[in-house]
Amino acid sequence: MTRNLRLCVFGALVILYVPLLVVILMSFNESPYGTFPFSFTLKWYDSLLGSNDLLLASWRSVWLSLVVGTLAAIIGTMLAIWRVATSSNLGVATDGLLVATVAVPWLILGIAMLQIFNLLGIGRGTVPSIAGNTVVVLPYVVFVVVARLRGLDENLVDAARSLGATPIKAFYRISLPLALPAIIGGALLAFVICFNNFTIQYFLLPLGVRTLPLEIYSQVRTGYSPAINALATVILGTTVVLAVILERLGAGSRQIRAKGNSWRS
Amino acid sequence: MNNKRRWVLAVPGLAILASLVAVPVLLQVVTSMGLDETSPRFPDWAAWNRFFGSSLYARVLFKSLWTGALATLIAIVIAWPVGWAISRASRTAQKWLLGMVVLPYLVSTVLLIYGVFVLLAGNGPFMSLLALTHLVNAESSILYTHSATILMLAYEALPVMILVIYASSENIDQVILESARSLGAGRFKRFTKVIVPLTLPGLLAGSVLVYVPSVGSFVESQILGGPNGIMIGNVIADQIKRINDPVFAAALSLMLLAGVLMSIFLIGMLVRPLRASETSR
Repeated sequence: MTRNLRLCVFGALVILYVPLLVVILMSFNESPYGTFPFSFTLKWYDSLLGSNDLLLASWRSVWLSLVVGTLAAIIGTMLAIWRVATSSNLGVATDGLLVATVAVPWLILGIAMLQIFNLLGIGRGTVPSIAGNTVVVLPYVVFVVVARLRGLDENLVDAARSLGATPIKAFYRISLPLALPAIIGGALLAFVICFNNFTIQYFLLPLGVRTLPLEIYSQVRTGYSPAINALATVILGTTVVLAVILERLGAGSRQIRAKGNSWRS
Repeated sequence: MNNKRRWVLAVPGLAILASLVAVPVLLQVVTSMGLDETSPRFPDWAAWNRFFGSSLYARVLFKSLWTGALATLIAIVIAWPVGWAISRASRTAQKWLLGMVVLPYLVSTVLLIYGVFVLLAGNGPFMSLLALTHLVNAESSILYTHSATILMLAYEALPVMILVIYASSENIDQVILESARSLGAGRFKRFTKVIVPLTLPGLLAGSVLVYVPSVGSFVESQILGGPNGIMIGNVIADQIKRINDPVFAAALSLMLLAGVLMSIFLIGMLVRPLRASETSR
């Protein structure tokens, strides 16, 4: 890297991280309006523990994202197994539908889903919100798991089959364990996207039921308490931990692939 | 799993994709023609007459389209040298740099908007620092202007853009650049004749990925954009959240979708000459 390029990288990282660092700094700053001079305090963390709105919203978000992440991992893995095996037109159409789900703005998807739930007489609610969030994160799980299943060494399954394993047994004993890092990775990705998905939750959750993105949004609009800064810092820390886990899972999958290749040669 | 019953695995996934993506989006066409309890009759063209009857909505739509384009362009300009530099770094450096680029992408958009909101606020940290130079007043700020929305959208687009440019630059062999240099191509010519054509397909894919949600955004403009920063997304969201007019919301959504598709098609036409020159060599 030349010196100029290095400066560009540094500059971009500064741009990316300054808004996050400001929030973190504010969470330790005595003044509630983010003004200087800086003086250290932990009182916003204390008031966070006393803020029922924020804690309740956090709990709702974690709960919703766990359900959605699990559902998306199960349904997505099933769809991926089928997609890898089929070469039918329906398979190609499914790819198109998955891409469309990612490509259409969430605003349009959210409104369209709300309209269909209204027509069915269900309206807004927890179940529509779970279903809507699941379908929005589903493509990410499918893409990750399909890529992993396509990358698997077919010789491993063939070897198991020639040693007398039934197709189903070969799948559960060979393919599934090898695909597991991708499935967990996909589930974590689904969890993170759902946890942060403001738009779908904005349209599908009942009025007054606020998850974390909705709570932050409403507080920013109506005058926020600096306890948000403390909560944001906690969430950032958690995101870093999740990102490291995701990275480790990716590293693990590369190791398996390398082993598979060396075995083949 | 080599048996005929494997299609059973696809049923739940296909069922929710069909019932919650395909059917609802197609249903918006019928909804826009008055299929809703808020509409007096069906078919009813009131929503479409309202859209085409005044230039107001078309203007907001165009404003959103160019706002998305501008945000995408800003992101490309900042991301290009960065993505390229990361692709030329050592394996270990790549891993760390990519990790650092991805992290903000995993943070909630609302939280990022909030961060920028705090950063830009009058008397906030950014303006206080600027005020130390005595060139600006600490209370004045670009917060609550359309520029803030554009910058926010570009900021959100940055991680994706860097990743996409990195991914398409990674495969470019250093040998190609060396031979271009030995044949007398200067720095600028190497960029326009070698790097641009080779990274273009990836760049286009990334631009679409960033452009579409930018045009359809509404939270950024609502929190940062102020009274004159309204986007088509705000108008659509308001039809649902405040006015309860799903028929007009459906018509606006379809126009937004059409506008986005048309501008993607236009971008494809514009870059076609560049691509042709790439394949002819």
